Amino acid sequence: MSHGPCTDRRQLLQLAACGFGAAAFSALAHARSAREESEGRRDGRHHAPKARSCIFLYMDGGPGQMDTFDPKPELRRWNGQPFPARMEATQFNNNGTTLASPWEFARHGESGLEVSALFPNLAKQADRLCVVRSMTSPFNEHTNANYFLHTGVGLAGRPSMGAWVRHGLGDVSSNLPGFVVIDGGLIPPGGLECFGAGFLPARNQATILKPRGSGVSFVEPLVSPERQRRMLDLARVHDRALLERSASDAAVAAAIDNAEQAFRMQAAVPELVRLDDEPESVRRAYGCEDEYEPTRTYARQCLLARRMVERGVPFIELSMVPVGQDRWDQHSDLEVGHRDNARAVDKPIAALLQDLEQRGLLDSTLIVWGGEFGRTPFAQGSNGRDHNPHGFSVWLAGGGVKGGHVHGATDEFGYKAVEGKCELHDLHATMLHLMGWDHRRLTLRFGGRDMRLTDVHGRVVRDWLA
Amino acid sequence: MRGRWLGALVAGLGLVVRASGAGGEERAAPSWSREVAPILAARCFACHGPDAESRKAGLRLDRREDALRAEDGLDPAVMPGDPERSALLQRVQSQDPDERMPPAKGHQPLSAGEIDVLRRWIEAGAVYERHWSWTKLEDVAPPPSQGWAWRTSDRFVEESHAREGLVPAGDCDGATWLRRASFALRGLPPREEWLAQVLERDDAALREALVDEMLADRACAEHWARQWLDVMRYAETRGHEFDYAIREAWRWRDWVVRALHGDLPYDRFVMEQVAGDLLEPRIDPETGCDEAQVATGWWWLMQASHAPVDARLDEAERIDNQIDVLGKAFLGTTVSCARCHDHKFDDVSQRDYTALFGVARSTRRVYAWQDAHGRGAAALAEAESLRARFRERLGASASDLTSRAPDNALWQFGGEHFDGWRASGGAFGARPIAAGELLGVDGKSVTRVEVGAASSRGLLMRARGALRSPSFTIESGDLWLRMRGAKAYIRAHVDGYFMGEESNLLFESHKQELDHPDEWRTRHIDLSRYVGEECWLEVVDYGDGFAELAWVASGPLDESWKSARAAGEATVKHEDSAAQPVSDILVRLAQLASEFPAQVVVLACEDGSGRDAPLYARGRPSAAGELVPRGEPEALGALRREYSSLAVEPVEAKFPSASRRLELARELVDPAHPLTWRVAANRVWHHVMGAGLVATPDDFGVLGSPPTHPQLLDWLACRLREQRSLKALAKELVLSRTFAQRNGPASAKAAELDPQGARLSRRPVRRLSAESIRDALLATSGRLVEREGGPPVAARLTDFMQGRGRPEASGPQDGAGVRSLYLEVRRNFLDPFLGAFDLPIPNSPRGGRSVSNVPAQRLALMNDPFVRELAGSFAEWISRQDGDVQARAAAAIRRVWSRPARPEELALAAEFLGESPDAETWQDWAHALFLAQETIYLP
Repeated sequence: MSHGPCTDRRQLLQLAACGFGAAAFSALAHARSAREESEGRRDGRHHAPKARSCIFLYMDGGPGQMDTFDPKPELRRWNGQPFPARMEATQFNNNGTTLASPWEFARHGESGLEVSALFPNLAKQADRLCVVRSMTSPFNEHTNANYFLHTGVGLAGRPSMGAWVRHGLGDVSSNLPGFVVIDGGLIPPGGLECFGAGFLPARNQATILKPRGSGVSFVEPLVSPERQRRMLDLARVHDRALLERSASDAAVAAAIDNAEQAFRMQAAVPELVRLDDEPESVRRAYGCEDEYEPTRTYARQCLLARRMVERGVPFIELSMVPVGQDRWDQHSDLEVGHRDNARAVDKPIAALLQDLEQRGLLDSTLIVWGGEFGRTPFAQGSNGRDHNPHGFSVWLAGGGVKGGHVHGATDEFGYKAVEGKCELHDLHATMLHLMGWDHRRLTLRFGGRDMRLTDVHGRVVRDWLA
Repeated sequence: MRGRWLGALVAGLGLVVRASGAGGEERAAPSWSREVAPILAARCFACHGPDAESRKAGLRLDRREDALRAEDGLDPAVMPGDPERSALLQRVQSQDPDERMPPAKGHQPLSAGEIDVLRRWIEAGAVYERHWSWTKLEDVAPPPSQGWAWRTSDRFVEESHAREGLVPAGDCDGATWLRRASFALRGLPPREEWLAQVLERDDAALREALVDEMLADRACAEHWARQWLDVMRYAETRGHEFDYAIREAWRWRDWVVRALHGDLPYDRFVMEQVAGDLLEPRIDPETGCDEAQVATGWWWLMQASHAPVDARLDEAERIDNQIDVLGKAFLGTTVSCARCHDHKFDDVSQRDYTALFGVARSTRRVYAWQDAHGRGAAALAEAESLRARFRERLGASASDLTSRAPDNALWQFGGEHFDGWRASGGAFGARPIAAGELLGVDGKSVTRVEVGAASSRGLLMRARGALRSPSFTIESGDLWLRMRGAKAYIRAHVDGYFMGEESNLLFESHKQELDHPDEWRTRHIDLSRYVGEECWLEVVDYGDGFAELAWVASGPLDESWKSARAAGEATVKHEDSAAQPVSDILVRLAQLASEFPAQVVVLACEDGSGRDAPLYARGRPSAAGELVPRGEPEALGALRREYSSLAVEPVEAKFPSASRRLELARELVDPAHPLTWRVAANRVWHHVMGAGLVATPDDFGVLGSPPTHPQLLDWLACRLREQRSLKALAKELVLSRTFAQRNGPASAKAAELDPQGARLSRRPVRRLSAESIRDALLATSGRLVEREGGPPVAARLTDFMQGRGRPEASGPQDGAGVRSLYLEVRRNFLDPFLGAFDLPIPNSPRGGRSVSNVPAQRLALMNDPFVRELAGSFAEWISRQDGDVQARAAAAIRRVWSRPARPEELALAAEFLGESPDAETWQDWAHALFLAQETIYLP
């Protein structure tokens, strides 16, 4: 059982011997600030981080690697013909013929990194990207694969990446939560459990933030600030008395703390989500004024993410926006679906990278882009692609990551990883490494085992590191 | 071989007389289970423990004989009495990174304290003991009391205080005790009349009377049921992509409430849940239903996804969850850790896991029909005899009726029995119907069957029921069933997969609705993706229709068998005539049919064919090894037999148990079982006291916490074994002096010796559970609505809860005022208010919840419109009280915190409220009381 922040009990008890009351309360405040100071030096990390914040751009549904970052000219040759290699079982088992990508690839930047025509804006940031073309997953069904991508296990109930990061930081005090999911409108298959704290204390679970309105659950006061302050002040006097009667119980003390933090969040969150504060030029660059509604939403998400990085939020995930098609999950109408999804995210992501760079924040922010799996090089039906966990692309950028770099390769059809094969456990291990943790040591004892994000797997992929 | 601790440890016992642990002796031998084993388990066993596959350098440290073995002239790992010559100690202390254990890479070195424990342990002879929770459960005589103890259980605590030099904190006042007791037993604040009594006359007799009253309150069963629901990962949807509903899950929840309310003996409580469908029915006098069968519903409350690409892997995941729940809930053992390899820390092998896997694999998930008060059975029996009379009067049918079936038929019906299929629910009667027998009644005419068939209308059309096949291995992709019917379906279950009833993706033809009552057709089920997998078939008559099945064939089928109506199968009608009067039979049958009672559908277990499971290498079903006989884990069976001094009571069985579930259930409640009683007693302690004697209620293994007071735990376990009463145990604890201690330590020394209260010298403040917080707010506001079970109140949804499977409409904001137990538990849409206060995600057993402290909790209490609404109701209640502002404020404080208001609190209230507060000010003040920590923290 964990009780959150503790205070220096012995000191309080000594005080208790000579009489409680206001003295105990101020001692409590003092003990707390001393603690925070000492933790400012350590803050739970194992080593100095390259990235203090992480933004995970979750490409829900699984974009096709051969349509985005993994060009496969060979598919042209076989387009429309029976797929020339062995096909593994697919979810829908309605496999058609080989399907070449409808999009052209071109080399970009000094690195000459290849990006498809789906991402004209992002392509200009090619030199910042470390594209991993050889990612794999053990699951080819959304829910299991989502849980696996987020928690390292293909079932619900485990802590999400962001929850582990928040947990790793220990008792930090902030006006904002440590793990935020900016919900573009599509909660992934598997639901909110993708962002859960599992067996970690509940404080590590994601706070869901909407890119519109008040942002966070129950953050909008129901009465005027004056009245609320009056209520809280009264409650606080009662609480002090309880603290005294209960011999400065640590749980009560921590709860009193939280009452104040909650009060501050009521101001901090609206301040955070007030995008009107941003200059017109910035808003425009992100796409907040774009004619396409999904782009406008994703732009707000990206802009919010940057504002959170500025305010020290350690882990931010962006969920996808609805574009009328089914996320990146194009079982049919690949051309329309991928086009619309890419249109929604291309400009905002490019702006995010550039904006962070301009503000000097990119070096200390890790950005990860990817879905739960990729798609098949052969058609599902006539014009879609089925799920493909055997080889797909993700990319990283920012703090500690090698830019303009390609890691690994899939076979000539973009079907299976054949070179530099990676597991999502490796992605997790490397993300934690960049953020200051040894994935093998970031553990919690639960159900008789020392649990970790990478289970008993994972390795830090040195080739991705700058 | 299962020697392990057993043989090895017995040899080690008695070598050295250990210091008693009284503390003070400078070189006292450390406690094996509390000090030595946790270090070895956490730091060494992963590579040098029971799991052979991951063992390094051939060394194992979990058995004395292995640890002491010297090889190649080297020092043995452990040399009893000589720490310096023990390689174990040399290696953990080594400064050389290549020598040091555990390996420098990825592991911290042992601390000086840990090394000292190992040194003292080796000095004292390196005694291995059996892990504490696996030792024999023996009744312990309580130590004498010097006067502190109120109850027998207190005598153990008093003795430990004396031994440890602890001065207990002193007793809390009567009102504090009452509030604690009421929340511990009922999850609700105490009633006003109880508070009045306690304030007037607080003595032992009154407290006992009040506890009896609380225990008899249905609210008590509701509160304890919610705690059991955590353990059994209760939910009403499946989670995953679409969060499909689990139909009838709530009937199991209500079973738990009734079982606890009636204080069902604990052994029966366990047995019914594990194998109630195989026990003689226990009829609930009110509903007339068989409680024992309902009790098995928990087996099927796991998360589940549709369209698994690998059906066998999907089954393995499902069963893994069942084993996880079974092992932790009843045995406090993490058996599921042994899925892929022998347990790294506990004496549970992969064979043990696989033995349980076989039990689960031989158990089917069914929706069963309950026949309240046996009325349906009576009607069906009469119909059966009418059918016989009809046959007597008419004689054999005039036409020559020969039932035919293709050569490759697996089954053909029409004989005297179902050929291994099992009929349940009543509709299919006791045997198939033979050619010429009465089938249906239609006005004055009757239908006689032309071919033999298993039929659900031979008796009464309104009766529901199912017919289920034995399990078979799929050898051909084509399965053919000759059928007719309506309001019925046929279904193939491949590897136990059941989510096809929600989405048939990948299992398209496996479930087929029958909609051709007048026509025989040959239905085709395409199993081509599943050749080699295991399958069973089910014919279900779920409505006022029927299903008829003549034969089942597998493999290629001649076209002539596929026609809609083969020759010689025409239905004939029979008109009543003077020569052959049947109208009396028909009238009676019609009457029986119209009066036939509605059957209750429950989610339950049914035994299938007994199938042992193979060892799966690394837990992967694709790598199946030798078969392991299904049943109880061998390791536990061996212990039971060794400890058995009391005979296991024979249990009346309804069916022979092909799954061996019934045997397993009996073995679990064997009085000689070392785990069952300890685990249950600890759960009761945990819920009453707020933290278990074993702090890890679901893990009594080496990595779990050892008991703080082992003798006390054993004494409690023995009381439970003797009385089988959870309520009696709870009563003992709530009336104990240990429970009634004040929060704060008696002295600075006590604070140092017992910082967390785990030494039971004081009782720390406890936060209420999520449900108790919500329920208490409802009760305080006068908004709590009592209800006796039934379907859940629809989940409340906020704008922040989105995603697939989201119900179209939100449930009511106040949950219709019912206790939280009765709110719908949707895995993907858990209640936002309860979620803020640590409602667990219901996927694996949670005997103890985490108690977090997050700003989201404050935000919910401040700004959830639900709380604000209740503050308004509370304000209305306050305004209805007699007296002036101060008197009303006093009444409110008494109501919300179950104690008289203090003068300074009334002064604060006066300041806040002014002389004549308006409704809004009252509401603000009431809300401020809700915001105060005392509302959710129990001093």
